[in-house]
Amino acid sequence: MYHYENAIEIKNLCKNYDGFSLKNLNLTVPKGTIMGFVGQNGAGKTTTIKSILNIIRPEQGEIYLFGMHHQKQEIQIKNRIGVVFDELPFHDQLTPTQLNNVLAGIYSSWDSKCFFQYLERFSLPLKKKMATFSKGMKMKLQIAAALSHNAELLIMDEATSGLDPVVRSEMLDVFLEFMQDENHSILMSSHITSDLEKVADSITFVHNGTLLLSGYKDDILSAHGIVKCSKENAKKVAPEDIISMRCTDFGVEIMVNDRKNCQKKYSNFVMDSTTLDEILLFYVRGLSKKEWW
Amino acid sequence: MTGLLKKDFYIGKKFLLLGIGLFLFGLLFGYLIRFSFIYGNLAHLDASEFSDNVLMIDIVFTFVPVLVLLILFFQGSLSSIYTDFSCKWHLYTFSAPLNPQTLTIVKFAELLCLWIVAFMLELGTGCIYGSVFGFSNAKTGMIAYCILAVCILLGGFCMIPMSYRYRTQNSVLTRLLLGFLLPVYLVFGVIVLNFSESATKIYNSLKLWCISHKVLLCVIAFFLIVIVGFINYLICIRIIKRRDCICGD
Repeated sequence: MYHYENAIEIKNLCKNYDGFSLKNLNLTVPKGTIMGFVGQNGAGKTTTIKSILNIIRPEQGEIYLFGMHHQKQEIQIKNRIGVVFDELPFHDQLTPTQLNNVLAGIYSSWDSKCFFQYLERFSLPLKKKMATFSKGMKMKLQIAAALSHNAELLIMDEATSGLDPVVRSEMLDVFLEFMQDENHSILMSSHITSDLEKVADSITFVHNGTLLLSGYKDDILSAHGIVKCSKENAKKVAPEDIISMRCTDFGVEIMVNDRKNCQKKYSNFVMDSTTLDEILLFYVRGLSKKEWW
Repeated sequence: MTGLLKKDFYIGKKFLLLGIGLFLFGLLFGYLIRFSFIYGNLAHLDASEFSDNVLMIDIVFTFVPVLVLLILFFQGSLSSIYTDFSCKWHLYTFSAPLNPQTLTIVKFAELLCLWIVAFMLELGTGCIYGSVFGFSNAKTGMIAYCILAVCILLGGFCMIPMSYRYRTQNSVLTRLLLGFLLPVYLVFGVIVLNFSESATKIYNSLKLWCISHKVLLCVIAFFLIVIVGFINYLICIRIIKRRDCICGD
């Protein structure tokens, strides 16, 4: 087995479609961490995930999983990956018991006992066809399948979207349990940044196929802040400190990316901490200082 | 690979059952009608009428059930590709430890196995039917059936890569034409409808040639199956390896 530091390593990934390009994406998911992969619809999250899984072929760039090239050692790699898609990729006519028989013939390290334990834990019926399952049940089934072949890396594409808060919370607990093993890692794309704030160690933002921001979640949250001031006072904020701005009923909110320094520099202004949601919004929807003035 | 075979068996079970059900029903019907020729009201027919009608009955109630069986098996096998796409199972298989060769060989093996089952059923029932009733024009019938069955198999082989490339929905009509209608019209059209004298002459000479060269015919059929199957297998692997044409958004 290869010694590796990073579960996923992507270098200069490029992929072109009509009207969309993924441009020079670099991404690293260190072993033993959860990375939240955030972006709007069509930002390039699914394209990146499909490239990692070798479902689509990138035009340029290199992808390594567990230190191995994703195409050259594809089978070895895929035995160690669990994948959860946004929709159930299994046939509706199958029952969970039949699915167990099918997947046991696909994964060399399939663990039927573990699969049935998850089914019991998630209260999923064994003999019912998947067509009768709710969205939450389908997602639980996918997660049970992804975790039942001793995967070291879990790749999830919008796995928690469309689920109610109770089911989402249950799923997040399962992910945290999975992370108890220090060799396990997760790449989790999601719109729901509140989930990522709960579980992710690092965050990567993509927008229009380009990387906006990537780093440890705590670093990102502590570095960013929102300065709240009047329109007149906003002119006093140095352009190099500003990421973007937005107008509110009470004045102006300015997103800055060096909160500690800005707190000293603009000690007369109110400085609030921020959330991943707000950071994403400011990066994507906020106005630059040039546009504002 | 066993997982994929099991999956297709679970999904295609209804096609198999429907095919076997229709086959048995057609066969039973054939037996009943043939018995009515011998013991029932139709026994009064004169020799030529009897012979013509019996030939028709033999064709309709022995070959057609098998054809239905073949077509349903064939459809069942190919429709598994369509359902794979419609539920995005193909994305799952591409993210699982399965190589393109395995994905391809499963589809070809399924089609071939189902075809062999249907073919053996036909040979078996043909022999029983023939020994019970004394099959009229048995040699011609069996050769026509074998040619049809081989055409259907070759059509099926060609349709597997097409189904991957065009994600099936555009190829339903082509599939039906290629796999079923064309050979049926070609062979049965000439025999049963007798629509053209010159065609019938060609058919008759061809028939005589076939009857006298049965072994050669089997060798040609075998090599055709191997060559067409292998070429389509390679094309299918190439399509699956490229992936973007089937998975790109």
